[in-house]
Amino acid sequence: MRTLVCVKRVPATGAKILLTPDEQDIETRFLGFTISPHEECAVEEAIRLVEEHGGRSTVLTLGPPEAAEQLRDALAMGVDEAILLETDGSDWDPVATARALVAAIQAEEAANGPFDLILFGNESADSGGYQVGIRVAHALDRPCVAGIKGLTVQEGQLEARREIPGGWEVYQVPLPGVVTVKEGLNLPRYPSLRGRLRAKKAPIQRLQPELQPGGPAKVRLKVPEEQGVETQILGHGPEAAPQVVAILKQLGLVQP
Amino acid sequence: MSVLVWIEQIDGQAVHSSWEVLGKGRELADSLGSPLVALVVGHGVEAVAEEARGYGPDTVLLADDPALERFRLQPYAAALQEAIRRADASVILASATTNGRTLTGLVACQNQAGLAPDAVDLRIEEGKLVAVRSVYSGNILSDIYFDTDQQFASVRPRSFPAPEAGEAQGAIQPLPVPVDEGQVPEKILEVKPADTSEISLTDARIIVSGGRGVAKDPELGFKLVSELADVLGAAVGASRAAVDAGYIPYKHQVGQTGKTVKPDLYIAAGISGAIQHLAGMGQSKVIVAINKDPDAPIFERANYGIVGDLFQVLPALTKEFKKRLGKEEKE
Repeated sequence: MRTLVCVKRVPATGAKILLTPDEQDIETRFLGFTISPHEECAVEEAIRLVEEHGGRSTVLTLGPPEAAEQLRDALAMGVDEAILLETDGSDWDPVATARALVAAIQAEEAANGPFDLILFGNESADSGGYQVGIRVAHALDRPCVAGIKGLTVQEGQLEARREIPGGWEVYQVPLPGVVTVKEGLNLPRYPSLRGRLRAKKAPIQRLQPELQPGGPAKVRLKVPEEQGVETQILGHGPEAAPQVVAILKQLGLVQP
Repeated sequence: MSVLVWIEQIDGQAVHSSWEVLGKGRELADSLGSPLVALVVGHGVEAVAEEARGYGPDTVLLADDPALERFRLQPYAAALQEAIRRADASVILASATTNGRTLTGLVACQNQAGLAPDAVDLRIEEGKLVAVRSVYSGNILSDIYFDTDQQFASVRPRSFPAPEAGEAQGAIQPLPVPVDEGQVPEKILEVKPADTSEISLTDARIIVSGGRGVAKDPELGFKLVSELADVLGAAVGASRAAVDAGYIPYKHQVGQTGKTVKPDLYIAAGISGAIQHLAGMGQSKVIVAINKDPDAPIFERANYGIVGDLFQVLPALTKEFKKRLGKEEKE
C-alpha cells in the first residue's frame, strides 16, 4: 500500500513567542522548530503500515525551505520519499494550505498511483486549526475519521479506533481514506544512525505551490496581558490543611 | 438570520459543554436581534431536545433517525446543513469536542465559510461574529473576523459558564434528514464503554494533579492524589514529567501535548510548574499549589500555596475535606 503523511514545521514548544511588528504573524527568528507529537505518531504509523503490508511511504509538507529539516527527520525514521511545497515563509491559512496539498497530492497520484491512506496529525502544535486534514479529505472526496488512537488496515478497509467521553468507538471506512491521528496511537521510533545517514543524502522533491487568495476569515493577533497573581502562602506542611479547606469552602469552590 | 448551536449527544446524554455554547449563543442572538436555534441530532433523543428547551432557545430542531444514532461525519454534516437551511443560520456554533471540531470543520469547508476552531471567546461586532482563539499554547490571542455570511466557530469547553436551566421555552420541530445508508462511508463496528467512574479532565470542575514530587513512591503518591480527588468529586491530572516517568497513563496529562483544562479549582501537588504545564492549566479559576520547594515556579502562578511534602499534606487535606464536607466515615 501507499501511505502519505502530512506534517507541519512548527516552533518548538515552551518558547516565549513574540509577534512581528505588523501583528499579523509570529516572530520566528529565535525559535527552534519541530513537528507536533501527533504528527510524529502519524509518521510512525505511515512507516509501520508499509512494513506490514509492503509498499511505499511518502512525507509531504508545506513550508519554508528550512522545512526540509522536518522531512529529513521523517526520512531518518524510515519514510521512503519526501515532497516539500516551498513557500517564502509567510503564513498560509488552512484553506490555502489544504488547496496546495490537494494539488500536490493529485499531481503525485496522477504520476505514481493513488495513496491508500493519507495521515495527518489531529491538529498542528502552533495554530491548532483542526481542519487541514478534513479539508483535504473533502476536496479529494474521501472519507475522513478524526482524532483516532488506533488503526488497522485489511482488505481495502480501515478500522479506526477513537476515544469518546466514557469509552471508545471503532469505525470502519473503505480505502482510500484520510485519518487525523492523536498522540498515543503508537510509540514513535528513534531514527537509527543508518537512517540518519540515508536521510542526509536522500533527495527531496521541491515544488513551488501557488498561493491562492486565503480563507474567508481575517486575523488579528495580540499577546495576552500578563496575569499578575498574588500568591498567598497559607502555611507549611500538613498544619496548613484546615486553612486551605476553610478558604476554598468560603470561595464556594467545594461543596458537600 | 439566526444563531444555530449544535447540541452534541452521546448515548442519549447531552455533552455538558454544549450547554455552555447554547448559553453564550443566547447572548449573541440577543445582540444580533435574531433567534437562537438549537439542533439535536440522534435517534430517540427527544429527552435531549426537551432538556435543550431549558437553556433559552427560540426553537429546537430535532433530527431523529436510526442512521443518526451515533456520530458519523457525513450524515451529521447533512443534518447540520439541513438545519442551517431551515434556520437560515448565519452564526453556527458547536462545542469544540473532537466531533464538534470535525463537524464544523467539514460544513464550513463545504459552504466555503469562515471557521474559528477552538475559540475561547465570542462577541458580535458590526452584525458579525468575532471569535477569539488562543494559539501557541496560550501565548498568543488571535481575533478572527469573518467576511462570509456564514460564520462558524467551535468553542473550547469551559470557556463560558454553564447556564442555569430555566423554564422550558421554544418549540421542538422535527428536522427530517434523508440518509442513504449506502452512501455513508463510515460504519461503526463497535462501541466500548471505558471505566465510567472516571471524570473526564476537560469536563471536570475540580482537578487534583500530581507531578514529579511523587517520585519517592509514585504509587502511593498518586493514590493520595486520587483519594483527595474522590472526596472532592474531582478528576485526576498529572504533569508531563509524571507521565513520561510512567507514574500514570498519558490520558491524565495536563499541558502541552496533553489536555488544556480550565477548572474552577486546580490543586497541583508536587508539580514544579514548567511552562508547558502552566499553559495547560494556567486559566484555572483558582490554583492551589503544594510543593516542597518554596521557589518552585508554580508558586508564581498559584493563588494559594502550601510549602510542604505532598505525602504529608495530601492526606491532611483529604481528612480535613472529609470532616468539613460531612463525608467523614462513621466509625
